Amino acid sequence: MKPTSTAEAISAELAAILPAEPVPAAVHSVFRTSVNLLWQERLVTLLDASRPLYPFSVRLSGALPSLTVGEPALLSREAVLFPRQGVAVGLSRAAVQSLSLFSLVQPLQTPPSEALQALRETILTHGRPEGFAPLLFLLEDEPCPFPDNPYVRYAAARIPALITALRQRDALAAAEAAYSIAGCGIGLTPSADDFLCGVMTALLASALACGQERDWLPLTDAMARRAAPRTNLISAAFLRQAACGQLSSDVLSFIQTLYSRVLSLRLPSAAMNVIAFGETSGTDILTGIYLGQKNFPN
Amino acid sequence: MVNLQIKPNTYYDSITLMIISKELKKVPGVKEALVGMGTDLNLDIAKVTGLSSPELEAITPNDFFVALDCENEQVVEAALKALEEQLNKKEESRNAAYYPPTLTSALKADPAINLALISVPGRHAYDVAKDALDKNINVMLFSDNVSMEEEKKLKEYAVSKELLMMGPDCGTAVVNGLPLAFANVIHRGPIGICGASGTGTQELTILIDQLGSGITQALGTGGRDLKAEIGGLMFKQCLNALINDPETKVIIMLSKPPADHVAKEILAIAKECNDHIKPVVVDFIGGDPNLPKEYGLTAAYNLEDAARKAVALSKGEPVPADMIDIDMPKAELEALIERETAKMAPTQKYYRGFFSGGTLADESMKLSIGKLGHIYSNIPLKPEDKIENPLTAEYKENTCIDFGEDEFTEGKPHPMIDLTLRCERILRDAHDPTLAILQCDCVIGYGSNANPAEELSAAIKEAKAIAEREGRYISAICSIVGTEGDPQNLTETRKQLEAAGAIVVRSNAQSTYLVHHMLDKLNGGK
Repeated sequence: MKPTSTAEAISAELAAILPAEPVPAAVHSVFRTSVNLLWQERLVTLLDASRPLYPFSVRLSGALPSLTVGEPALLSREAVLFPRQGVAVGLSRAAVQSLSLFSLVQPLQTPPSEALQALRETILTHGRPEGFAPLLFLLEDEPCPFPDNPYVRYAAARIPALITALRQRDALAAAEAAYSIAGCGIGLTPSADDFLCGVMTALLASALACGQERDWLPLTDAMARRAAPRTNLISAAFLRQAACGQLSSDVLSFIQTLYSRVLSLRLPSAAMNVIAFGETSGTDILTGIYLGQKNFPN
Repeated sequence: MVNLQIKPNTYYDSITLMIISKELKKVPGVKEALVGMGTDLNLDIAKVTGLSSPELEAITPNDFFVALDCENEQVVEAALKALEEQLNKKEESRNAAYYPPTLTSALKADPAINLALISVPGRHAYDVAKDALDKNINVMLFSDNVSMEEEKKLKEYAVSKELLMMGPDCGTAVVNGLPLAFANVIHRGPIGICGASGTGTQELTILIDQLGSGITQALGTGGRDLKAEIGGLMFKQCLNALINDPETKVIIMLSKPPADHVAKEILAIAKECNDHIKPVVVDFIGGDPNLPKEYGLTAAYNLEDAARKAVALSKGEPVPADMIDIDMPKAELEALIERETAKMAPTQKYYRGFFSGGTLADESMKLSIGKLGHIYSNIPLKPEDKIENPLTAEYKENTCIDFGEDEFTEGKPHPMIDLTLRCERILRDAHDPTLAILQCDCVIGYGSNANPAEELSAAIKEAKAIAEREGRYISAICSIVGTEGDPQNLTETRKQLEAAGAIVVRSNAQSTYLVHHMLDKLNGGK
């Protein structure tokens, strides 16, 4: 089958595990700008050209083919095939892009307090308040100007336990705290899961900035292992990826902007690219990054 | 009563889930609606919220669920109907209810978007505008405080991609009939405007509309585009767009006098167009009208003159005579002047022009400069006429103030939105025994105050009352930038101003010419 469309980018993590010979997969879920394929127990995502690259994903140079849930697919390093549609997505010309926090060339540095303040302001000004952004007030015991939201109130009562666990570097307690909120919230990826992804991202970025990443990886791994079974397959995949520092390209570039010695004027625009993810997901990720960084033990 | 809907192994994107949740809560009689993926915690919350149902136990984290608490069976039916409608809705209509927080999410919702109106603090404007241009989106940059270097880079980049980069500090545009930022409801028609001036462009569009014609596009370039540093990059781009637009039959070029070499370049392009494709009218506000004439172009002496000439050309009619005075029968004008000046005291010799539109203040001064001598201003035509600290300074003799300048807008909305400072100054200057005439603009339309005439009329009325108590009479002359289609409505605005005793004329130029006639009378002239 000749390629009917081409991929422009593929995540290095996916490129490394795709086999030379085609293996069977199936269409798991279909959205406007992405399609998930279920391969063994792993999700592989096809993205259209408007999306930033994600871990274990392929970004096409144009629109996605029209696919239906359940239809078969074949995956290999050369192409993604959909025999029923006669569609082949060629991968051979795709740029391989690493999305790991640990592959960044420029070293991360602990951000100045002004940068965290700018992040908070950007969340409050441009973020979506229907998810976990109200935590920025609820955890400070400040009156919350956002509409009432039962999910965030539920989680707000449990997050102090997570913060305590992080400050004490207690992996078991952190995992239990993650378990206590995982899967909570509206959205395809529930707000709590996005928030936890943000927290784990901030922990690993802070750890990298002070050379302690080996100490913190077991803690984030424990959090994801405990939290993932409590949520849906798509959200669980994001949790597992965040726990080992694998991020979407927009979150990765935001982290590079935030974790620099001085406050970058590009911070709000980098944050807004993250806010654009999903409906509340981007805002929830940033809320997690803010609180994760704020509570990282010195 | 509780109703539960489950769709096993079904995924909807978060935008859809959020819209469904909002729409279900709008159905009358729905007390609570939870929408989400069937994770344990979401189910726990459903139970805690009183949405418990035996079927909840069967849901898995990969299932989509909706739990409803409704007043009765009819409400359940209505809610389920709303749910089905939302799930079946076409993407286009879903997009209509979606307010994307960023440009990227807007593009996700509608990939056909090709214009972004950007209004962010100046220090972030470059990045945001560059991002839009990267995505092949035309830009209208409302933000100010963008450096000249950044403006040039953005415009060079836009030109290389054949995109528009209108601004920075671009306050008005009408694109394909869509009014953007401060703009009015204008009929579609055959005239295209390329303007490096905000309120000037706005006044041109409303005059064209009032003259019974309409516009194709009104493209703004930002006030610095025709300076030597930028070189008219966007003016040329916009001009070419209008030249190539088959709907545009006549073009108006509007700006302050450009840098010499820039003027030559754009006039050469305009000449080619005028000679071979379509007529071009030029208003270089306060510039030498002979310059465009040297290129065979139709020169305008003021904004109304430009509008009149363009409308005539678009109809194939002869170009009307230059409009260089008020358009009013002589007897009527004399009677009006007599009526207004008769009650004035001998000390009353001067006028104050209080404007919310910078171009209107500028045009008024340029039409007056040869006739009235010194005109003191915060945007003076001569350096020696500069008013320092205009917020607190005592004004003297003939003074013209642009209330949209930085010194008035720091920490405050633009005077088209918030009239407080202008009205306060009207009342303060009403006590000045030398003040005879108050000249004001009143800008309505999108972006402006919901009823600017209300505040302005109250100030004019009170100013007249102050003068009367002190044995004087103040004449108020106003022009309205607006149309009958504007939310505030032209006729309603005029009625309010006239009820306060103001004389309302069609344009800023006519308002200025009337000031000249009255000052002539007061100062012993003709």
